Amino acid sequence: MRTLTYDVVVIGGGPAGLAAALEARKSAETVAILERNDELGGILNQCIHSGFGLHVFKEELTGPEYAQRYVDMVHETDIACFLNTMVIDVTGDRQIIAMTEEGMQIFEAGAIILAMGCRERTRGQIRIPGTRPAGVFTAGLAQRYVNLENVKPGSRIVILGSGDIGLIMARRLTLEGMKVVGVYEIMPYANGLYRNIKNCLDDFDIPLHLSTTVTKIIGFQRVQAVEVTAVDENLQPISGTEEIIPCDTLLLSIGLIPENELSQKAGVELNPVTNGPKVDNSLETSVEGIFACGNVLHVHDLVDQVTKEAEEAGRYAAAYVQKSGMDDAAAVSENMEKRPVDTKNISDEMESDTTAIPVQAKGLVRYTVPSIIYPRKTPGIKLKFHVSRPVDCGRIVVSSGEKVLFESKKARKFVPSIMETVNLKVDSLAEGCGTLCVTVREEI
Amino acid sequence: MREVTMCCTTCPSGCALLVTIDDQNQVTKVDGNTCPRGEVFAHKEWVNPERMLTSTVYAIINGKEQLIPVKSKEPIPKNRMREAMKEIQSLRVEKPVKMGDVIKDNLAGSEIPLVACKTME
Repeated sequence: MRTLTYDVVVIGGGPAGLAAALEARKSAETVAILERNDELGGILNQCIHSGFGLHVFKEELTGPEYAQRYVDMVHETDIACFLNTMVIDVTGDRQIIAMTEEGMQIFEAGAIILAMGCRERTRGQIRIPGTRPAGVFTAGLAQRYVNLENVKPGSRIVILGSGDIGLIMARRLTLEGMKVVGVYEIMPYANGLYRNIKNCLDDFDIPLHLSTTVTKIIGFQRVQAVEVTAVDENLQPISGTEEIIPCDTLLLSIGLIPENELSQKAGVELNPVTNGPKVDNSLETSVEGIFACGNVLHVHDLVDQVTKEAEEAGRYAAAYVQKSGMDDAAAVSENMEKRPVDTKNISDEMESDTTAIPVQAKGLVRYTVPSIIYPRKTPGIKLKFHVSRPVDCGRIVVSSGEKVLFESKKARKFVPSIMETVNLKVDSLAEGCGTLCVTVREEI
Repeated sequence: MREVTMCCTTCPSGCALLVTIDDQNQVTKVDGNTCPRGEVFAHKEWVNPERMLTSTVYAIINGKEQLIPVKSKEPIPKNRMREAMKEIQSLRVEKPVKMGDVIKDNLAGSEIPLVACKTME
């Protein structure tokens, strides 16, 4: 096997991988992207709808356009792009084994950035009873069929789940001449962005049924109908409310799971709430020199947020490579010249390494990224989280013991579909600061 | 005079707008928007709602069947979407395209062109 060495290797060539690689290349000498598909851009290539880039480019772009801009930027650099390359294994000492177009190869990396994205939850994960006919697809698979492969998934379609992909597919399939019978959502509120409910469902008179779920799939060989049932406040089906909806296709838009099999192979510790790696404020995982960003870390609502997070990961990964390079050089010169060790500097560094502040998500806050903070590692600290249910009026509170470090000035609305960000000043985290507690305090 | 509520769809924030309509059916006041685009949206939405239209166009480029992602360069009137889709479905491209290339002028009589969203060779 041939061995290739790069300062930074990015696994995944979607929006996170592209932005991370570009940013890393600003200070790292050699950067490579490993992508399993035959083109860069990831899932953006099939997201042909518009609504991307409002934050990053200050204009509304379609998915392919957003991807193309980053692909063009990457092609203007000397970043090595390995397409049709499937990573098989990643080790804790930053060795990557991948099947490339030229056979199996080993990549040795100064730092690794995990940017593998996420995948869709399937029927198996929510255990819908019934037969197992053809015609049950995840919404993203149907999107791929229609937007990339020119294949029609069905004629009469029921969508389960009101996530954004499901809503966008309702419109897309309707425009392509298929009949979308209705969208069913088990929660009492819609999961997608409000503008998608309006532009994708209301504009086309597609009904949205809240507090209702699919309780049975009916059909031999091909889906013939689904049974839908209303649910109570504990999300349990209410007997007697069953209704049979004739259809030939069921699309599932029931959530996304970060794709972390490779991370686990490298020994990266995961957060059981997000299914993504636990990271610190420099987006470094529990394994030194391995960073994570984008949907592999936690599922984002907007690609713009992915890009910004990935840029940070790229920057910190490159800084890590430079720092370890300098440490190595220092170690070498010390050995050669037997120079006295500067004890003061080393003790400072050790202190900075040990002042770890754990971050705890409480109450309505489902999780936080990062889950641990090393105050001296980054110039500022960005805490990101999602709430577990809608809140009409609340304030974000970040506290350490009795001391409140941050509180939103204005009480406002919170929804599970929108990611929240809090910027903390490093100075506010005094030495010896205990566990940080992040919550949303509900006000009535 | 009356008040209607609508959701601004300009950006993902989705501000809830409270729009005042006078007896001549004109928008006189917009509340609830957090940026000036909300006001522009409310006026358009009341008189002649517009939407971006995105789709794909069938292409055979260098012998390879592909779908080119396309969009209306600007939002088009909502009531012309179906007609625009019919026009898009009848198109066929046989040359490589660059992102931004015009695939068709005057989409569904809207005077707005249909452009490619991706460079495909």
